[in-house]
Amino acid sequence: MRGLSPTLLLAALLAALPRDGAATETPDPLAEASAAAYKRQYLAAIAKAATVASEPKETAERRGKAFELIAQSYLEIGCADLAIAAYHQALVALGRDNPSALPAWWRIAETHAARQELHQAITHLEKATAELDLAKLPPEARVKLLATLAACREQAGQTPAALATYERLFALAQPGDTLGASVARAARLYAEMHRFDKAMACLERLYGKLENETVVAEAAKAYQELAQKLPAAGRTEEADALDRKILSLFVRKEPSAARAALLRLIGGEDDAAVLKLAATLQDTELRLLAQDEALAILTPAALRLDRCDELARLLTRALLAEPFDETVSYACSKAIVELRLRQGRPDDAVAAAYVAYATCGFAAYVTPQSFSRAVDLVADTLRARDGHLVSGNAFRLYQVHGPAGPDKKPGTPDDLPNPLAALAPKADPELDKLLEAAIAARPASVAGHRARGWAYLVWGKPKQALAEFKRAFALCSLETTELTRAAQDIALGLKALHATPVGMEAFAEFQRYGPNGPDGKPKTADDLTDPLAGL
Amino acid sequence: MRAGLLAALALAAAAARAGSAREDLLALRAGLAAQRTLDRAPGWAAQVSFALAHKDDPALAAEVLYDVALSQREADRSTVARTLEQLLDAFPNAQPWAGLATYELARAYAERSSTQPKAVELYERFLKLSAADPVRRAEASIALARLHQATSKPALALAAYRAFVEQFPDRPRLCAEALASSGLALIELKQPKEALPICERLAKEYPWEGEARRGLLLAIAQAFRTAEDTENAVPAYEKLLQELPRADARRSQAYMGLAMLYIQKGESQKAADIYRRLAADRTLGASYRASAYRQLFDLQRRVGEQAGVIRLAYDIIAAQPSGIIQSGNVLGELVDAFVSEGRVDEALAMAKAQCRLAYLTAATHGYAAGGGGWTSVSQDAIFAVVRALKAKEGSLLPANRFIAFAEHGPEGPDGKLGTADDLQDPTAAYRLPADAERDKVFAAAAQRFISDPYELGFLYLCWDKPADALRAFRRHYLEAGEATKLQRAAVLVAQALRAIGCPEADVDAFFDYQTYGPNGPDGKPNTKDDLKDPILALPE
Repeated sequence: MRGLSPTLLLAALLAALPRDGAATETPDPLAEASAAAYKRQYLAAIAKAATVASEPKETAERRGKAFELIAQSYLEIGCADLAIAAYHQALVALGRDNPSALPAWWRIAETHAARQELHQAITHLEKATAELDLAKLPPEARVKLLATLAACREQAGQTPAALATYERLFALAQPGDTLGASVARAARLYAEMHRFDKAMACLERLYGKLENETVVAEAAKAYQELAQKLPAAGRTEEADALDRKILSLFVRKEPSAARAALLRLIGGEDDAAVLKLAATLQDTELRLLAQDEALAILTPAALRLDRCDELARLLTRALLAEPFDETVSYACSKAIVELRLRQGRPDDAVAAAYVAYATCGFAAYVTPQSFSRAVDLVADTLRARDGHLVSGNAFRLYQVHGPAGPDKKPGTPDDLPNPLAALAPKADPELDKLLEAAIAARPASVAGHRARGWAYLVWGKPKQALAEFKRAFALCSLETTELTRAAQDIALGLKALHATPVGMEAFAEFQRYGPNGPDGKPKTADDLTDPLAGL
Repeated sequence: MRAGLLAALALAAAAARAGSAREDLLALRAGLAAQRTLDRAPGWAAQVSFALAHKDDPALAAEVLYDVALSQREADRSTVARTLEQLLDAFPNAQPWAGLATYELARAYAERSSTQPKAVELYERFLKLSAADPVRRAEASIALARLHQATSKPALALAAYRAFVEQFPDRPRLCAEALASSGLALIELKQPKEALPICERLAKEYPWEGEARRGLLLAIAQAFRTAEDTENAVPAYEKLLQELPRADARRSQAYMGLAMLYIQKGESQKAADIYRRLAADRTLGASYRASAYRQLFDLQRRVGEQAGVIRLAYDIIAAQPSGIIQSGNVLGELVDAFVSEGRVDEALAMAKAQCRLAYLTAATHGYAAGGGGWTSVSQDAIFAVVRALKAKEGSLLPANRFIAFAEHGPEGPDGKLGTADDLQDPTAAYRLPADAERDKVFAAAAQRFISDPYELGFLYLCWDKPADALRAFRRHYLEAGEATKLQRAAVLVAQALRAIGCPEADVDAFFDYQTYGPNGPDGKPNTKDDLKDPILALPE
């Protein structure tokens, strides 16, 4: 409801006016007024602007700006009544339907509304909409006047009057009018009042026209309101159709709405229907599976129907669809771990936990929380596989010390074995096909090699992943973000390959010093080897 | 427009008067704005001082104080009331500011219960003002009604809500609230019958306000039940059950209320039907269903039909096996039912289950592991076994042996295994006989709890499958995530081992295996200290 803050409006006005030092010989009083306002000399600004506002020879545009500057300055000094008076003066002086004066209509209403003087705001806008020929107004003014009136009426609890105002706005609308937010608000109100057909009609009108963030937020609320209320009226099929639309419309723009829609869709269904529905999700929508509530429905359903492989493949598709998204990768991997453990396939469970580990965090020191939860998952899964704590604890130690053990020297008695070295997951030709296709679909570009590398990590093939990341590193530009990302990918690959973050700095050192090491001389003690050699 | 313009011109003229108070005010505010303190404590203080210094111009001073209060409402609500009180004390007749201040002060007072009586007075005063605008008038009217209700004055609240609905029919949300609240006020006035038509009116005029309608209907039904007016209470509950959406937690309240009504009327069969509906309502949580079965169980027990008691006990176990710990009487009654039926083997098996479950309370209630643990087993559970053993054997000898076993464990009085005083569990040889109906119910539950080894463990204990139970608890332990859960799960495994009569050495062996793995403390395979998981070593 509230309009732009006075400060923002002043800033906008100032930007539109000539600056100091412009090529004008006589000082422009409007520019002087704006400069004074900029320096917070509001009374001086008002006085200067008044000379322009009261000068009939000035253009309407300049006089409109002057009145606006006066009003905003009054608001800055806490004199809302004088600001409103200035807007009224603009309407009288310039003409109530003059384009330069039109904003004054809704600015008055907004000023009243900001002071919770809703009755005055409504009365004023009712007058405006009665006196002005709305059809002839510029689109922005037409929409703004009626939308503001409807919002004020809604705020005052006059819902039927608010809806009537929205209807009037829609009736008067002309091609090009930006109605998204109003249509969405009207849809939400209709849904709330159980006028479902009207609400549906509004949403149909809105579909595919989500112009900006405000409209998206309003539209998401409207869709949700209707989807939640329709089942109580026995219109479950329409509710389901609406939820499907919510999935496709808001999966990126308003994920919480899409997640709620998915839960509504699978919430009351039997196991087979739940899995069928999940299987129909588009790649872009698969990320919605990565929420505890959804997985708590899907996992037992797959177990009961003995369709765990199918669900695991679906979750792998989700992993592939969201490269480098740690939240999705952890949630999906964890769900696959649970499936495999319940299936009595502990090695496959460890392999799935390893995927969470391999794809998490670019470096332990960058994202310690996601790294440690992935380590926990691997250690817990090892415990579940072996039936004791030994290898889980060994894996944790391996993360801290690496293969050289606590003394950091290889070839000594405290060297540690890689607890994941002998991992042997069961072959799954269908899954292999899925991953092969995903890799083949990626072009030989920087982004393509990155995505291939990610897919190899998901496949549990860190060596190939590292090779892809190496190609991406070779191809990437020297632009800082891209270069850093490519280097971080290498670190990710090294961590996955060695199953420990220990030793990742070798790559950075090799980049910094080259094969001759810090002293720059070949065949000395500090010579370095390329950790990616041979890939 | 004309009125607004005249006002604007008047204001502008006032502002232009050289040396006038209004010009001083502008200068003051401009200075404060330049220092960015206009909307902060120093700015408010300066403006209040200004207002109090201009008492000779009440309109201006009151306006300034009102503006300060509005600014404070946005930035620091705690200071609003003081400013408005100053305004009303100093300028009670300076309209419209005094009227607006009355309204705002009422809103501020309404937020705290200690000042709500004052808020009532102020709202009443505001509503008497002819200049009050319709939006604020509506807000004040409903706020006044809410305050009467909050301060336990249902008659006044009822009148205020009714007045609101009459005066402001164009505000449907608030009208729906007023109608529903007037129904609640009628209930407080012990007139639930008069509240029923309000429900109908809500459904007809405000069908979208289902939540308020359902809340009112529940209150009406409860009021009828409290007044022992079963004739009206029953249809009210039935209607409520029709209206409550699936998975609404109030469904269980409605079922329970209705069943209680039938019990009060002595219609046990109808009460049982209601409990069965509650138990069959899959949208409610497992604990509600288990609770329904328990109620049914009690009903059935009173009727005295043992076969029904037995069937229901199985349903209760299957609904939420871990919940049996909290409903200790179920297994005890089941033992008695079997004894009455002459099914002593089943009685003994269920008594063992009761004993085992009682043992696990040490784990589920967070007692420390170790220390024998038998002390935590309830006397009831031990005596259930004793009763069943007596019935089975016809003498007290095995019962006494069981008491000794319960007291000392397999190690016997000296606490050492492998010595002459070691004890055998005298119930070990008695297994739960097959029963197709029970096994079907339990097998379905096992399938339902496929992802929940914790519940599975309890189910298997009741089903007399101790090895499966231990394996389930072991799985629960191995899959427990973070440290706290892991610790609790470890205690559960230890207690479960003890519950099925394993010696302490097995408990130690399990945790040694956890610590060292199969290769034992030396970490090398095929050496003397290699270890085995004692749970996996149990026969299938």
